[in-house]
Order: sequence, then structure tokens, then C-alpha cells
Amino acid sequence: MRKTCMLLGMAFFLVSSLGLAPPAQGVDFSGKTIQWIIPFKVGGGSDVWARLYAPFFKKYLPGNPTVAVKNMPGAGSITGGNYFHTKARGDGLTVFGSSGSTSFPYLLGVSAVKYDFTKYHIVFASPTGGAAYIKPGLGVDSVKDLKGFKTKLNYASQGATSLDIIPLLAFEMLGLDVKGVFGYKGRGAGRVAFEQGETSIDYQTTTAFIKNVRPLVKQGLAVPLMSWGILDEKGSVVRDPVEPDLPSFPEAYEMVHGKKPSGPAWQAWKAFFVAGFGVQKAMWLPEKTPEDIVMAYRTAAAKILKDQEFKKVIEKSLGGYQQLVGKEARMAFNEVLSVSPESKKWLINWLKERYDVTVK
Amino acid sequence: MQHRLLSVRLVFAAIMVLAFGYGIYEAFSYAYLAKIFPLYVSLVMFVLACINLAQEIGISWKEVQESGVGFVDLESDWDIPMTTVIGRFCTFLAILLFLYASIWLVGYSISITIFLVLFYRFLTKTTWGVALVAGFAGLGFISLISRLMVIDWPSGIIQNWIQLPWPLG
Amino acid sequence: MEAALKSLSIVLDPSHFMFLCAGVLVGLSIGILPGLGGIVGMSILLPIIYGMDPHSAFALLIGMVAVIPTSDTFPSVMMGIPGSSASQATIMDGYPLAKKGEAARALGAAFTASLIGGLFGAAVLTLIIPIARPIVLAFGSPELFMLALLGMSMVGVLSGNKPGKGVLAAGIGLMIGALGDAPAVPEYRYTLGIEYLMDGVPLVIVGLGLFAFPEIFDLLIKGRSISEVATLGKGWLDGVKDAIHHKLIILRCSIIGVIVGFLPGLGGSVVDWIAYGHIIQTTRDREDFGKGDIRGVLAPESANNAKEGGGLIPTLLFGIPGSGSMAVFLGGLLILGIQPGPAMVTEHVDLLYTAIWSLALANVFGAGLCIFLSKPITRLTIIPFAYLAPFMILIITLASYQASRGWGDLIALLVMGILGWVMKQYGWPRPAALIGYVLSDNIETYLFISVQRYGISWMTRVGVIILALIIIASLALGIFYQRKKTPKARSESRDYATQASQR
Repeated sequence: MRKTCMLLGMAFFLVSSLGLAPPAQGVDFSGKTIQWIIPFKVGGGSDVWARLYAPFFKKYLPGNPTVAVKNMPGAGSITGGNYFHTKARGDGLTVFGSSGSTSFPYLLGVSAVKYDFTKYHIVFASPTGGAAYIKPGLGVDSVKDLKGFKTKLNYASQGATSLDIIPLLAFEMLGLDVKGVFGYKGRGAGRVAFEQGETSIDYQTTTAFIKNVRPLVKQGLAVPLMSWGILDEKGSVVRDPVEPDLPSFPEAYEMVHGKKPSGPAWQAWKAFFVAGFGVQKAMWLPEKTPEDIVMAYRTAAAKILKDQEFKKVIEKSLGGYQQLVGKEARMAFNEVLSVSPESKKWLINWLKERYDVTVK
Repeated sequence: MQHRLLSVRLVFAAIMVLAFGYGIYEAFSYAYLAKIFPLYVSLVMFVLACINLAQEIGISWKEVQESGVGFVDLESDWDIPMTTVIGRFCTFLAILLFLYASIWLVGYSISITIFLVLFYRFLTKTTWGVALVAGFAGLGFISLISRLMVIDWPSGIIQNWIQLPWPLG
Repeated sequence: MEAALKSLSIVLDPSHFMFLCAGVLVGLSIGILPGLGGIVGMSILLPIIYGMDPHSAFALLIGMVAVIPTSDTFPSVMMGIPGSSASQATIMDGYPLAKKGEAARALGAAFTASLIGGLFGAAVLTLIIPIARPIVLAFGSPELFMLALLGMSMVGVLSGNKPGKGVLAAGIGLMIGALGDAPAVPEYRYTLGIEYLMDGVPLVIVGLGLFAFPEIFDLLIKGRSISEVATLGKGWLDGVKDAIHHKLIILRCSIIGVIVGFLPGLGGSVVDWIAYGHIIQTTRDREDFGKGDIRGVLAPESANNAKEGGGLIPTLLFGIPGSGSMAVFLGGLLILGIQPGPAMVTEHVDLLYTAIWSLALANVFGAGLCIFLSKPITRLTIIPFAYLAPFMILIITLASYQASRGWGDLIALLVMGILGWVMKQYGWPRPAALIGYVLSDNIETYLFISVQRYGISWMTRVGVIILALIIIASLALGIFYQRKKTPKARSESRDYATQASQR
């Protein structure tokens, strides 16, 4: 028994001394490890997104460094964001992956937020889309029938300051009487609630919509309404190419009200839509990063998008959306950063009046 | 008589009352949907905690009257007096606090290695050789986990000044 | 049927089989180390599955997750420290058995129960796929609330003759669970201004703090070895015989395990308590529970393996995780490009069967390996604890730190540990606190949703009424059996309750 323990101890000793060997020095990133901070748990949406990209960054960054995902969950991604803001050095070895849940507190002016997207360098961004649908049997076969629709509807929501701002505000702008039932744990739970009859209107990400809601539509258990849309190069919200039969939200609005959307509600919706869907996930380099490192990353990202293997990944796991790199990503994210203070105020006020939610 | 009533048991029961009282108090400041659950749970528990405290005081009082020896804990199966137990607990707790303090100063990797070595040498009473092997086995283990899970152990103040090689940094 | 057989041949194919074995080995190691559970295992394996073919990835991940509830028995029995969050109830009777020197018997019984439970879970998973959808859909928020209440009703049984302290302990658990972000609104409760507390206290830390920490300290204070008897008594074969003798218990608890795993919302950390509580409730001679009754080991161990099979149902068929490790598994599915949902039964039926076979085979290997390892490992119970303590402290601090990777974890561990130790010394039942903590979120969330959505009328739903009757029946059974005993037995059971509340 004693001897076995000694042997095991020796074994660990050897392992630890092996681990103490220092990494090789080299040009660019050779032999280095890049830490990609993801402010979410393992297995979450952003975590998966980063892990899908990581091996390709290893392939295309000069020196082929190891790219390791570092999970830093906490306070809905505020902890990770703050850590990146205060601790990341400008040596290109630390990058940050943000998601809609990171942008929202930033936009709403939550006091705990220390990170500031205006200071970082964006490498690339991944959009995603959402599609809304409604219970059958209510006399609604398409968005046009929502004009003057008076029946009360229930929507399964995670919380009024989550990504649900987008559907809740959209439904209200369409003139629907939608009650947010709060406390659900995510869109998966939301879909189950819809199938159970607990809720009567719902949305899903387009990927989940295609896989799980389209079969329901076929069985006559759901009626598709619209998709939120995507951002085009000019910064307008247009139809989502992944679901080309569904009108985008601005189109739906026009169908119901007879004119294009405008005003503070629309401005607010658009800004939060871009943050939550249009440029949902993005990779960032810290403020002090020198120009050549930023270029190296952006070039690598552009190469990734041309990679045949990666194109398959986009189809299979990233919803088939066109990814944005460098300047395009910067321009798209500027839609988020340039939201006017009036729109922000309007939204914060709306949350207070409608849902009795105070942003702290 | 008074100070014999002040056993850990009673203090804990009293802390329970205070804790639930705080629960009630804090709950009032929350938004409506967030308030209901903690408020009602705290209210019920507060009442129960007060009853419990009263019972405990009653039992203690009776025992002090009867045996005059102060509190005899009927419940534990220790073959040593409770005061010794608490004493030893505090000793080990102090050791843990020293560990934590050293983690704060020099980081987890160094601290836990030294902790293992010292513990084996002085508490388990082995030779220095065995203790050192144990220490490095521990270091090897946490390095392995650190690599596998991409996790950085807490670093101490000293790591802000000097850049130490992995895994000590 | 032929899809099933085709999958079997896929799984047995050496390239996939290799991954299954790897998964089993990883799961074994993780289960043996206290505090680390399925979530950690998934976190370690997830980066590896990128680019793997789905069958291999499934074999790896499910092989790992299937074995953890088997191997986590080691620390629970031998040291009274939960190996993972699903193995806490095993401590109650497994650990006293180890103290009597019967560790091998407890382990043998536990592994047999785990094996049968796991296979049962896999079998149910196969049979239930066609009818799973309507069953899961039948459980709306009001029904899930009632289920959480059913879980809470176990507090009564587990508090022995101290129902008052039991309820209070459950209350402590409920409040600790309420700590942090509220389920429906962006309100952060009881955080005392500390950023760490905004997410609440993680389950790992509550479990380790309440159970592991006090145990380590008590053993150090006593200054001896774990086993109070110098030589090891009965061997593992006796344990196997015990398991076969009590096969009905194993069957019942496996059913409970599958149901709890299968219904989203209850989570894996209460399944062992529910099974344990149920067994006590429905037995007449309960005097030995808490002192080393082998049935107290069989019940939780069969339930926690069966729940893995149950947990795969909502995860694969609905995309709702049945437990924490299933949540990470979902991420793995996304990496592989597989969307969980009704599409699984049509498009990916072969993967479904791979999952089932992996589950079954992994359970067999896991149990076999564990039995093989039990002899050398049980020798550890004779060594003076001072040899083990520092490593235990290392593992526990490590396991706590990986919960949210911050100083807060270490401090929370210390606070929970002190609380747990005091509770142990003064007779506050810790299982009640744990149940309160785990169910807190569910109770609050489902009650809210029910009231928001249905007003008061949620109480008149059929499912709710049926579940209410079940709760009342189970409470009544508990009292009924309590009363039926002779006065002598009743006074002895007070002792059991005392012992139980001290574990």
C-alpha cells in the first residue's frame, strides 16, 4: 500500500515537472496560446460559437497558435466583460467574445458595466435571425390578419431586459395585446410552453425554427408570422434570406399600419435588434492592440470565411448567415453604438411603465 | 449561570432568528415579482425560528438548573467534551484561514503545495521526503487540471510584481 | 428494431468503442473525486469532440455521464463526502457502513444497484420514445410546481423526529437558493453589494460546504481513521447478494429515478433524496436507517443511475436539459451540428440508439471496473485520516473554484462549510437544507408562471389535483408507518433521526 502511494506520488511529480517546461519563443504567435474569453458557461450558445471558430483561427493566424476558450460566466456576462476591460493586455493574446446579453446591459446603462465597445477593435461578427409564430385557430393566417387583432396573447419570456425586448416591443408596435409571462428559462422552454398551450405566441432562432417549428406548421399546430430580418450593407433591416417567405418586421409593420416604421420606438427597436440579432456575437481585441495585430486577426477571419470546410460549419451550426469581418463588422456594430440618447431613454421609460422594471 | 447559557447552540439559534428577520426586511425593497417568495418564506421561517429559540433556551435553562454543569450536548456521539471539539475545530479553521491568506499573497499553486508539505510533515507526522513527494504530487495534479479545463488558479499579490513561470504564476 | 441492432453494431465498432471506453474512464475518475460531477466532465470533453463524427462523440460523452453516478459512490461511502451532486443521500447509510468496516459490502451493493438502475434507465429510454412527447407536454408549469412540492415533502421524512428544525433547515435552503438573480425580473436579492453573489451560490459549493467540509473536520478532530474497526469485514459479494435480495427496492427506485430525470425541472440533485425518503416512508422497520441499513444505499444508487437515462429524453427530444450536465451536453449537440427536438426521432434515430447502447454498455463496464477497484480503494478507510485530509482539502477547494472561477467560490465554501459544521453538531438536518436550496428556483419560478398565466384557476387542473393527492398520500404514509411501531422501536427511531440529522 505504502509503495503504491509512493509510486503514484512519483508519477505525479514527473507529470508536474514535465508541465513546468516553458513554451517555445517565436515570431508572431508561434508556440503561444490565445485566450478567448467567453463570458458564458461551457455549452452555452456563445461557447459553442467560439469553439466552432477556434480551430480555424489556429489554422489561419500567423504562427498557428493554440486558441483556448476561457469561460468566465457571471452576472449575465458582465463579469467576463469587465475582466476583459481591466485585465487584457494589448499583445494580441487575449480576445473577447461578446453576445447580445453583453451588449444589452451596456446599451441600457447598467451601472455594473465597466466595458466599453467604443474602445475595442472588432475582428468579426456573426449575425443570427429570429422568426415569430402564433397559435392556429385565432383567425390569423399571416401577418396581414394582425391588423386590428384584439385577442389577448401570452408570450413565454425570460425577463423584460433579456433578448425578449425585441419580440415584446415588436408585438406592441404591431398593436398586439401580448402579456409577457416571465420566468421561463430560455427559448427551448418557450417552445415547449407554446406546444403545451401555455403560451399563444412565440419566436425561435431561425435555426430552431426551421428544425422544430416548421414541422409544427406542417401539422397545422403553428402559423408563421414574420422574421425579424437582417441588416444589409446600407444599414436597413431587410428580409432574412434564411427564411425568404417570411416578411421582415418592418414589412410586417407596414402591412398592419400602412406606413413604414419610424419614431423613438422604432429607433430603439432597431438598435436593440442589431445588438441582439444583427450583430449578435462578435470578437474583440483590447484598446491598446497595435494595428498590425488587429490586421493579422482580421485577415485570418477573412481567410476563415473562404475556407471550404468552414462554409460547411456555417451551414450546419451557424444558421447559414453571412459572417461579417473587419470594416463591415465595425459599420454594422456602429448601428448599436450610435443609438441616440432619446431612444435609450424611451426604452428605459417603456420598461418602467409597461413592465415595472427599473434598470439599475 | 448567565454565561453558561451562552453556548454555540443558542447563539446559532439566535442567528437563525436574525437571519430570517433580515430576510423579511430586505425583501420589502424588491420589485413586486421578486419580493413575494423571499418575503413569505422569511415570515414563516422567522416565526418558526423564534419558537425554536424559545425551546432551546427552555431546554438549556432546565439543564443548567438540574445538573449545574452548563450545557451538555445530548446529541453528539463524541467521546470527548464539546469544548474540546470546538477548540480543535477552531484550530483547524485557523489553519484553513492561513491557507486562504497565503493564497491571497502568493497564489493557489504555491500555497497548496506548501500546505500539503507542511500538513504531511507536522500533522500527519511523516518524514520530509514523503511530505515533499505529496506536495509535488498535488502540484502536478492541479497543473494537469489547469491544462485540461483551461482554468487559472487564483493568483496572489506577489504575481502582480513578479512574473513567475507556469504553473506558479 | 433493425435501427436498434444497426446502432449496436456501430457502437461495438472498435473506433467508436474506443471512445466509449475513454468516456467510461474519464467518468470513473471524475466520479471518484469528490465535488466534481457531470458538468466538469462535459466541460473537459467538449473541446475534444469538435470535428468528431456524432456516433463517436455520443459514445464518449454518454459513456462519461453514465458512469459518474456509479463511481461517485466511492467517496460517499468511504468518507461521507458526496462524490457528485447525485450521490449525497448515499452518505447517510453508506458511510456508517464504512465506519463499521463494511465498506466493501456497501460498495458491492451500490454498484449492483447502479448497474441495474442504469440498465433500467436505458431500457425505459428505448421504450418511451414513441410516447415521450405527449407525456412531457402534459406537465405544464403548475404540474411542475406540484412536483417540486412533492420533493419538498421529503423534508419531513428526512428530519426524523425534529420536524421543526427540518422545516427551518429547508427554509435556510430556500433562502440560499433565492440568493442572487430573481427568476423573472432583473432584481438581485440579498447580495449585500457583493458582485459574486449576484449569481447566487453554486450547487457544488453548497453540497461540498454542507457535507464534505464538516466530515473532513470531524475526522480530523477525532484523529483516527475512517473505519472504526481495524479490519475490513464483509466483502463485496455480500453486497451483491443484498442487492439481489432487495430487488424490489431497486426496481421502485429506478422508476423514481427515471421519472425524476425525465421531467424537466426537478434536476438530478434531488433524485437520490427522493428515493431515499421514499424508502424510509414505505418501510416498517426503519430503525437502522442512518446507522448502516443497506437499503439506504440501494435506494439512492439505483435512482441516480436511472435518472441519466430519463434525463436524455427531454434533452434529446425537446432541447430542454434534464440536468446541469445535460445542459452542457446540449452544447455538444450544437457543436456537432445536431438540433435536438422532434427531428431526432425521424432524422437521427440511429444516434438515439447509439445513445441508448452507450448508456447501457457504459453502465456495465463502469460497474465492473468499480467492483474491480473496490478492494484496493477500500483499504484507504483503514489509513489514519490525516494522510487523506490535505488531498481532500485540495480537491474540495479545486472543485469549488471551478464553479465560477473566482475568489468568491473559496470564501463561499468556507462560509457554507462553517454553517454545515454547526448544523451537524447541533442537530439541524442538512439534507433538508439541500433540498430547499435545489428546489428553491423551481418552486418560485413555476408558481409565478402558474399564477401569471392562469390566475387562481391553476389549482383546479387535473394534473395538479392528482399530484396534490400523491403528496398527501406520501405524507400520510410516513406518519402511518411511524405510528405503527412499538414504543421501543419508536424510541430507537429517535436515535436514528438524531444520527441522520448529524450526517
